[in-house]
Amino acid sequence: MSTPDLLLDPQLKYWVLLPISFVMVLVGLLRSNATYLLQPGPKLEEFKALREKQFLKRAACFRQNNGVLTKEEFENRKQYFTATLESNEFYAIVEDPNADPANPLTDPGMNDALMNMAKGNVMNYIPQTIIMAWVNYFFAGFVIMKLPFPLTDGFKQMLQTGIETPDLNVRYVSSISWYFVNLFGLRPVYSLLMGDLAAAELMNQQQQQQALPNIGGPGGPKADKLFKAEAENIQILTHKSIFDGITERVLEKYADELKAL
Amino acid sequence: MSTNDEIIYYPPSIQTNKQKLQRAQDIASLVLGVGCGILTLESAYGFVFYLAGITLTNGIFLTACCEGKPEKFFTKPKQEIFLEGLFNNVPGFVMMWCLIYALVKASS
Repeated sequence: MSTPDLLLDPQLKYWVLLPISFVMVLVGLLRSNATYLLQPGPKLEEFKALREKQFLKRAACFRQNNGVLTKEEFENRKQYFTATLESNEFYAIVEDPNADPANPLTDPGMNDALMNMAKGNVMNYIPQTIIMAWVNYFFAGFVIMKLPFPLTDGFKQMLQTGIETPDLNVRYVSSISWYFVNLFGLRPVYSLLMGDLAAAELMNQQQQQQALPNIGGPGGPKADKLFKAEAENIQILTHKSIFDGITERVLEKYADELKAL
Repeated sequence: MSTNDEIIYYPPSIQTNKQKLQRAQDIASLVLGVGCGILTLESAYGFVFYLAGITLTNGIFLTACCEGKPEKFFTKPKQEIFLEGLFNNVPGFVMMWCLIYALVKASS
């Protein structure tokens, strides 16, 4: 293309480009700190509910790792777990089988979960909308930069809003497109600024908490169903110790070295 | 080795390894963007520059941080190191590229 370059005022970068980036970085940091502060601390759980979960976890652990037990130990535990899982000894709430199923919308735990979800969404969207409106209102109506790569004409509507020049090359864009580029591109900047160590620790904690199955919580299955299923799983377990046939396996593993000797 | 040996990974460690890789790629994509802007590369050349740069970074990560044995640190090493980071880091690169390109162009 032999069209001459559009001459852009060098002052634009100090008064438009850098302020938008600066504001977006600051708002992002503010938002992440605010969500951290607004996060409710871990709630104290009722001991019976916790006991129910942990007993189920214990049964699952037995099911997965039964190979380390001897035959006798295995039989003892199998008997104990099937009997206990089928009784209601570890249930958090012993429900009346004739009662109507509770309406999930009136359940206070459900409401809490919904509230938290709504809070997270609001914290995500409101700042973005405000910044977008601010950029649109404050820096409207002029070309601020030339993109280093060509785009198709389809982007003209979106990226050149407020510029009434129908034949202008799409590479010249208005402030809103710089906003979009920032919106998608600032993630590495945030993660470098905030330091991922704290974030990593937070993630680990969350993972550990999620490891316990969600029984009786919003959307979770009922305890008696899970207990029955686990009892059935344990019922059909056949014992296979890791020491079965260990001599053959060791000999097989080191057969080549033995031959060499 | 008997056939029923399987490698057991500890998920939090895998997660930490991924975060370290991500951090290296974050820095690389921003630095590549700055470099691309300073050189005022345009359109396809810029993306080729990015592709070469990020692959080089991944290669260095592979030899320096994983000691050439990525399967010890990642469950799906080839895909996780070379493919996933390639596309996730494009926006960061494009942002720095646009910014520095605009700054360099405006003052020349």
